[in-house]
Amino acid sequence: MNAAIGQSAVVLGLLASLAGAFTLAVGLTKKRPSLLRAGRSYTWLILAGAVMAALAMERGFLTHDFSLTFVAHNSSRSTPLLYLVTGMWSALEGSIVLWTLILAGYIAAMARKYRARIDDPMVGWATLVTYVVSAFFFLLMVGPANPFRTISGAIPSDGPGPNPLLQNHPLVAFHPPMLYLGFVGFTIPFAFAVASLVTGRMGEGWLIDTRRWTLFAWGFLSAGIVLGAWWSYEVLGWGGFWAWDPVENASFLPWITATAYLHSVMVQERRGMLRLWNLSLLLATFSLTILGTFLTRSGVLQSVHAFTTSGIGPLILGFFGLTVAVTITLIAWRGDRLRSPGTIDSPVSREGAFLANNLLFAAFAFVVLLGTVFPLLSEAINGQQISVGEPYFDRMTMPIMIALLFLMAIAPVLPWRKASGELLRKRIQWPLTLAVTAVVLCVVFGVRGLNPLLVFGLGAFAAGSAARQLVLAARRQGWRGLVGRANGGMIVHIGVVVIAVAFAGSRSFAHQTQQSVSAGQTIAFAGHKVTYLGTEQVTHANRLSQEAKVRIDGSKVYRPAISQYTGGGAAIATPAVRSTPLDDVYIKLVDAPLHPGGPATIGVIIQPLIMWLWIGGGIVGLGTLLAAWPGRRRRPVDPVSAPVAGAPDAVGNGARPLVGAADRADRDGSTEKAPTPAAPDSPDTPGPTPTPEGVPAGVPQ
Amino acid sequence: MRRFRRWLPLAVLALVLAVALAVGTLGHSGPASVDDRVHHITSQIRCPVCSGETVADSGAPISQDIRTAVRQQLVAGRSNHDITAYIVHQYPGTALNPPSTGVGLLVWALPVVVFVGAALGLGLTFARWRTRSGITVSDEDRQLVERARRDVDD
Repeated sequence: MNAAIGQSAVVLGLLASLAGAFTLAVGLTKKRPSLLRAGRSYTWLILAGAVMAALAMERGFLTHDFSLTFVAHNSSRSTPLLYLVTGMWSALEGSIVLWTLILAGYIAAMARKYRARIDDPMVGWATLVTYVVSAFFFLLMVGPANPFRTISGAIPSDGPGPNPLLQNHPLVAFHPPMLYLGFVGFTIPFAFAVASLVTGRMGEGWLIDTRRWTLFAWGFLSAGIVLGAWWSYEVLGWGGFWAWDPVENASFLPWITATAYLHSVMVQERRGMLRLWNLSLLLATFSLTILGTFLTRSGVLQSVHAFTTSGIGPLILGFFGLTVAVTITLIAWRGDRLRSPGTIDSPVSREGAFLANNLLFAAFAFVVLLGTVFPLLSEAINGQQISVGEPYFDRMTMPIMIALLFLMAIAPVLPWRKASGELLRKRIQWPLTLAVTAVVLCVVFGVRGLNPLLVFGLGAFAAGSAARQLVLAARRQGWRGLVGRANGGMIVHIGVVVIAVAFAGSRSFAHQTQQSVSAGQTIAFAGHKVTYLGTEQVTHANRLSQEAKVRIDGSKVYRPAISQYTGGGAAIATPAVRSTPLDDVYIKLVDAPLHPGGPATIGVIIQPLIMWLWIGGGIVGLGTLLAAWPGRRRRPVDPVSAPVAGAPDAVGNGARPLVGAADRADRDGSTEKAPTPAAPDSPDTPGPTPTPEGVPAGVPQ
Repeated sequence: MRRFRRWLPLAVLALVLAVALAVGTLGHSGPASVDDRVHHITSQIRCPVCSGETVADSGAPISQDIRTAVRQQLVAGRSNHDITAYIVHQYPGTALNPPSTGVGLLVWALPVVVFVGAALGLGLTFARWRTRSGITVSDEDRQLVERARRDVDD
């Protein structure tokens, strides 16, 4: 029954995607608005298919329908309710159901948002692209990754349950959906980027359409990555949260390129420059989500997070190749329209800083991508087995991260166009004082080592710059000084600084020990006392656990455990963590006593500042929300609402630097310009001076 | 003189920063305790039998054996470098720090080459922009702008 519903839902979704794509393609090439309208209606069929498939899958889990192979392999009668619900994304096939559901949701949101512009070819092409992507994922479900495959032979009476690691922490209910909301969300900006190339409307209109989608996807991805780190920390039991594992890198790569885009898009809005670059960043971001899916789902790379391997590798690789080939062809075809007339006056300016930012992010992405795929490359070149891991990534990315922190400190105080030394001196005085104070205090309190001191100092510098911006904006605009892209962005910066400081602290100052102790013995370590009180056996619904009772610093008792899950497989250790703002005491039971009352081996890790990673993640999320908060006014003109008949208009549109957008950014409450005369740095204010070539831009179409 | 007075606070800040960084960096030595050193060494070696875990993190018996071996050698006074070399010799391909010879050199050198190339390209572009920026505005241009502005106001 569930299989039948699910199968038909998948087929419905596939057919609707294909039919919709076909209808739109015909409507767009023959310029028939009625077909565009008809094509758009398929959105609701796709959504219906995806929702029905997901419901059928969840129903299968909740009713223990072990006739479904996927349910039989990933749940059991003793699995708690929460992990029955999350069972859907505990292996490959179900996670594609989730992926498709989210994609269909995004397509529906897009259809709703642009319902008034249904005849616009730009929207039509973008919708067509999303249909093609959704057709691909439905196709995966029909073919090689069918989540509704039924068991051949006798239906088992019970299953083994999900992978033990996926049923021992509630974060598993939040981390994958957040991550997917991020990954999949980049489909919409990608679709608009392709649509702008196809229609030849390379002006800034499509950017305005897509930047908020990108911001939302970016926020979800950031949250997903931080939640994933948290999950690793709480579940995997090695006391760390980020290991440059291929799966982690795969999620981080699109984040890097999307972050670069969110910065460089401001240069395009303000100065009409970097068109080709911004387009490429969006295309790369989407391609990297597909490449990441390939790297982590095909089994070509080893990872602790993979949880599944399958035969869908070649298909995904093919889709990735297709995406890259199509985008490169489109860019080659339209490249001449992407040239921009603007220039940058001085490297010491806001746009100069954004260029440096993009250079660093591009290098960052290159290092992470190269390091991730290098084991494959070296094997292909001469069969040599080479592993690339934490030491490589740490050494290569540390200078980049420090340089980025420096930029975060400097860029917000730089004005657009050109900065004078005098102005800079005035603006960095307070942030720099804060930075030096932070370094001096750190040294006085015994912090040693160049990297952590640099990170703490530059972190204080960057937080100071961001806070200065926020204070100026709040003084001028009240609470509105905290919303809008520029101000929300500053809050995101503060969150990133908090994460960087916690990251450096835990990388540099963690301590660990491992000792064999009898009941009543105390391990005194790095200023903490860990008393072992004995181990008891506890039977849970889905596992049999040896739980050690451990008293930390004479107060509460914690219970790190080694559990054998009923589904079989290796026993897994679950750590216990005592968190405080200063440090975490991370306890794991390494070896349970061999006989009752015997000695146990307890591992203790002292991890400084870890809590601030999660707090920083929260601040980033909050900042993203504030940045996406709708501005005070609607945009004055719908930028490209008029369908463009011929290329000349499109070129004209493209060649026009966005004075309008620049003005809007000012009114939106960006702090970089026009402070009130009372503000300390008013003399420098260049104001929204149009560029020489920007003056004619006020001419309406 | 006034210029000097204005920049003085910054100079003082820079001096203080330099001294603090020097003090904070010089008296520093790596991980101190044997446990921390074992962790440091074994976190740079991939567990030979697991999927994507380091020897430090893995619970596999072979990783436990390697950890014990590393500890014994540390107690015997051998250097981190020697111990890593010894373990990697026993289990080839497990060094997470890729070799800087042969094919492995690529993974270290390529990013540097690409970064330097991109930075040079960006620098050249800036230089070109600077030489081109001496655009003169003719009267004709101004009239065009005026006309356009009037059109907007209408």
